[in-house]
Amino acid sequence: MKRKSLIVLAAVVAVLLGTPVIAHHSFDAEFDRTKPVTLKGSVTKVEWGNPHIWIFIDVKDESGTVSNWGVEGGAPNALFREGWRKDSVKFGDTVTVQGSRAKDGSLRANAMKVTLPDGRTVFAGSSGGGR
Amino acid sequence: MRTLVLLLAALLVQAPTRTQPHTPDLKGPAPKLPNGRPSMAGVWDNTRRADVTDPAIPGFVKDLPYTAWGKSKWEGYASFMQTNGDYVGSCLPFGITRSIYGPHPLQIMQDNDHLAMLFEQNSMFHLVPTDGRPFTKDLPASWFGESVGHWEGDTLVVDTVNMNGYTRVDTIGHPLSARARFRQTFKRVNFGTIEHTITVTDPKTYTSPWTVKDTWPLDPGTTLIEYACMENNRAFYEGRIKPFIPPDDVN
Repeated sequence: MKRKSLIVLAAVVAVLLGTPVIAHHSFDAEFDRTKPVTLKGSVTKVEWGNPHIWIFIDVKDESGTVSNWGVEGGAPNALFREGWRKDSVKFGDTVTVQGSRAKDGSLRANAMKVTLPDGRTVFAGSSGGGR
Repeated sequence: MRTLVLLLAALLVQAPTRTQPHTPDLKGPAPKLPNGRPSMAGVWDNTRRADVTDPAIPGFVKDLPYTAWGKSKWEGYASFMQTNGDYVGSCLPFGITRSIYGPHPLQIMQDNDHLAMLFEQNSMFHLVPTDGRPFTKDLPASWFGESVGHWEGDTLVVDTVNMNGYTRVDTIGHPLSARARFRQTFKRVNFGTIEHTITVTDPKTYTSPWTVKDTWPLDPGTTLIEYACMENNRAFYEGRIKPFIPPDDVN
């Protein structure tokens, strides 16, 4: 029974990570799914508002230069139902974001997954995968 | 005085300390309106369809029968958004199909004479009179158009006309024109299930009508949440989504 539950849970997570459930606008117009990016840094600002949340993080590159990245997530309504709260990510937290870079090369990304300070990795509501 | 005290004590014993949540029997019979018709009321887990032709989602439409105009609109959608912007990204109304097939829930409220669709997407609503009235003469076209409903047995049939032709069927962008008409059917097969269909008839865009079929489970644990679309629409404010310019060839 326990194993069955784990299989079901794994299936649910797989669906959440692979399905474009929270699309508001065309993903491909703004982001490039062929340019995956992983960003680890300190949160400087969180904007919890529709149609997309935005998380800004200071990321240090190999040379030690710090850049501020903006990361787009899903709609707060849908994230709330998936267990997110307004303070799930807050100023000063260290998070790791996996997503896709903006097409225009600016310091923006669309988040697929966010690893929270407590180590949990959660779906971030990316609109990528199916427009 | 003693009687009054005893009466109050009896009321306090009987009164629940808080309202207990009602757990409906989802397999039970559909609830009824005062007039005896089935009620479609409830919060529904409406099917997410980013693409109505996606075979992974039951009830999809296999092939869309484009006219030459419709095919050009479908194939040119990406370039259209470059020149005319994105109406959804501009937080304009999604229209019926994109509201129904979006990622956010739908609540239906209903009495004998009206059905109200409350869409969480952009906190929008659409009213459907079911009191037998005809369509309104000379009403200007609109994003959601005008709907009227009638009963065929226990199935509610909703017809919609007079849409402005600016909306798309789904997120991926299947086209519509201002000549489109929708016919939706709602059948509440039990307390916890609605069988829904939508048939699109649009002779400017498609050579024949086509139908999408859905089964919506009731979602009694969900409450609609406000959706203020422009609140944090950074992509629009920062110019990455262009303000929508209506096309002039949809009539």
